[in-house]
Amino acid sequence: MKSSIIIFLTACFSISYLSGQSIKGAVMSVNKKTTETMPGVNIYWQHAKQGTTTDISGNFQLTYPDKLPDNLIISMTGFQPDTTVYHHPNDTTIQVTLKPLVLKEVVVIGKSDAISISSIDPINVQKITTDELRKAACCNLSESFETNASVDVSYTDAVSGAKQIQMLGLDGVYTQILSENVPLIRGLSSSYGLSYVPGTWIQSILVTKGTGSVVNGFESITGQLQLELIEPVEAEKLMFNAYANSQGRYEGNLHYGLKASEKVSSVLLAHYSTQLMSVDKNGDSFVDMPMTTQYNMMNRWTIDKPNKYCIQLGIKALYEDREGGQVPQGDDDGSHQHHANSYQISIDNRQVELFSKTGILFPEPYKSLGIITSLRHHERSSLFGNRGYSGFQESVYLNTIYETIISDTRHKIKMGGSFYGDLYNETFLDSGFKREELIPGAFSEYTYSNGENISVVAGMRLDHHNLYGLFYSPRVHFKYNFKSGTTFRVSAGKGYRTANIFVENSQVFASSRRVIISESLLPESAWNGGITVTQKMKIFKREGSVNLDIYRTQFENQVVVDLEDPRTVIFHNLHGQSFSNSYQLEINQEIAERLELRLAGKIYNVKTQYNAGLRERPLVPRERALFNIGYKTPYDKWKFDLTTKWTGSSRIPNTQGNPEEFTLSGNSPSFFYLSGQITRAFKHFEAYLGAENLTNFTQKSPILASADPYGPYFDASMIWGPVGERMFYGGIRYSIK
Amino acid sequence: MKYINIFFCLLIFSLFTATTSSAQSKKTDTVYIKTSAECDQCKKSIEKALNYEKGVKSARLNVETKVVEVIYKPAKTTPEHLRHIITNIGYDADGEKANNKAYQKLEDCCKKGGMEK
Repeated sequence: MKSSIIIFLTACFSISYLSGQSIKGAVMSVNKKTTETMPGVNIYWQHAKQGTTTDISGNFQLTYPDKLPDNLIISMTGFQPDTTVYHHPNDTTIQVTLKPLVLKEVVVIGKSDAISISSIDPINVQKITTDELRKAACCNLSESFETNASVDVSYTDAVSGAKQIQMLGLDGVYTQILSENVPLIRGLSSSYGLSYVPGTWIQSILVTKGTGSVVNGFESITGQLQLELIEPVEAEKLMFNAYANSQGRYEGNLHYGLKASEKVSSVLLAHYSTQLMSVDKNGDSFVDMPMTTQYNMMNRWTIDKPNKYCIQLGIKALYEDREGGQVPQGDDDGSHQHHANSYQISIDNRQVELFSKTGILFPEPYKSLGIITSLRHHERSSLFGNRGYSGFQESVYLNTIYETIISDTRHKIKMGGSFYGDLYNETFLDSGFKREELIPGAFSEYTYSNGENISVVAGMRLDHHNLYGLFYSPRVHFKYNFKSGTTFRVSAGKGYRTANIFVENSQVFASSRRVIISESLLPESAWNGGITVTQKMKIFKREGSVNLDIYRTQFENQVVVDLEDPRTVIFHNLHGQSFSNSYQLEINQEIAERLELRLAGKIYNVKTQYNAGLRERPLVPRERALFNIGYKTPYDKWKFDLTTKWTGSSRIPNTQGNPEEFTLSGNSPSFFYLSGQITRAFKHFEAYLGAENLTNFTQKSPILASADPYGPYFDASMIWGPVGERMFYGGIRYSIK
Repeated sequence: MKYINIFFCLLIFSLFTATTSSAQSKKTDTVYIKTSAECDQCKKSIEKALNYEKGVKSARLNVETKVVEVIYKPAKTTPEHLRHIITNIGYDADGEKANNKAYQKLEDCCKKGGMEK
């Protein structure tokens, strides 16, 4: 079902003056690079009610009706049907796309490129496939964007080892992260949630840039990441993966797929990882990566009754413990004694989640109903030196989506209702923060596609927040394909979110800054608009593409994190302007057989009104560049991959109030980051060897006043570059189909 | 801890070198095997399976004639074994019948008559 289906309708007929002229053609599905015929496809004239089906090789012949115009409908159960209007018999060759009828918002067609930008979807969406994910085999979702130009990854602080993503120069919290339409990272999980999805669990990631679909809620502002995890139906019988790196990190993953019957299948995914060595290469007495232990498990079931319904049920459980801070003294004799006053970090996270997805298909192939539910419990307790935080979140999520057509399949409509319920109970230092959010909402999304070159998605949703009132999120996407292979897209829309200031801002914990919440904080809301131009090209018969996009995000309200005074972190609502402009150029080109090249450059201009004035958002590089080259030998026996990233300068928050030895320069230097991997595939297993940070560039003394972590100048959150030194890793993957 | 690291490195290096050392002997033979391949999809899976087999230098299938040309090292493998590989993934190989269980799992176009009207 995953493979998208292209129907090539080659309508060729001979001109004849006899009545009963007929249209001939063939219907095929394209799966990766090979074509397959599609037998049994229904083809009929909507008004004349005459029809036929394709034969075993996908061919058909159908007489034109007496009365034209009429709509020629091509439909197949399990696929979205296609409609073409015929005003008079003509001999054009048309190409139509049918999408499988499942609860998936975006389907990308074409060859099995590691990254593909669809020219069919009206939304600017890139698909990162398993192939691409394996280019950098380590380790979880936060490391899945190493070779992607649209999503940036950075460390948040020098002590917790957590990585965050950024899109369009804004923090990852403005990007909606979903796992098959179920909200994945929200609330308390926003600080470490990216590391809660082991890399081997991920089948693919759909990266939507700019405003997302209203079907998934009001939260996407800068973009949307939609994860597809390993599905029971496609799961291997057994998969085992082991990974180790030179800094003492070990990981193991085990997948077990079970086909209980024709209808019922299941997959169990288990993950264990640990960081055993305490490495302090930069000699600041703090460990560079915390000692981490993670147990993570997921079990999902699919009950599939073709053409009737499909039910998916799942359970996830996670336990993670991070221990960092100052290196234990007396490590040589193994006694692990801490200084009485040494700065220690411990972060504990526990999460349990139940989810279900139900898809009901109707006899009419264009109608479907989807119901998504999830229940989650998350507990976190942490201690950074003497700053204690504990949080508790309980969430309920429900979404129902009904999809049908208006008159014919060119006009599709989705409607539905959703409910978010979140209960937060947080304690920071001695203050308690409790809030309950109940957000019922309704949405409707209309999609027009003429089947050739134009498509439009117009959606709107209305949500009612029990604390903040109405959220109104209109969103529009438009796409036009020129004959020259150029695709032009425009999108605009609004999104909302409520901030969780403690977990989203590591400055609060990993520094001595006094936390000031200067007013009651309102939800964040922003408009996002963008233009994308994609040009397909062929150089010496090799396929390639150039993609240029420009996005602007303009906040109506933002929870501003004001770090301009080195003693404090002030949270306040936006009083003035806050925006982000992003310009990106990306070139993908095959330069020889199985040798692919990717080049990308980006410019960000991100500014916010702080108490001290309109300033650049700190620690966001103004420019970035990426270069990736990949080579495969025939049948993917060997794979070589090399990635270079250049990160430009960024503004460092003002530290002028500190004594001279604790002041930082106003701007960070630019730097290169080089990583590479070699993979060798065998019959049943794969082995890989790789290296990260080959140039061994690190941010020197990333912790301010590291000698006195309880003093007033301590700050571990001023991170603009890599903290970890050059690292080598290796692993194996063994699987039985 | 160091030992675990060293063990891992050795393990992985030995995997890499295992294949390069087998490329020593130069003598090769060619065998032609008639298969039941029907389409490009079948071509791909048969070629891939053979190419991942020990001792196989190259395998190329002609969909029209259904014949796969395999260049292999007789010191490492035999035509009997190569035919067995093909039947194991669901295709006939010369006189030998396909493994029925594997055949049932093939994509529709790869089943017998899958490309006929």
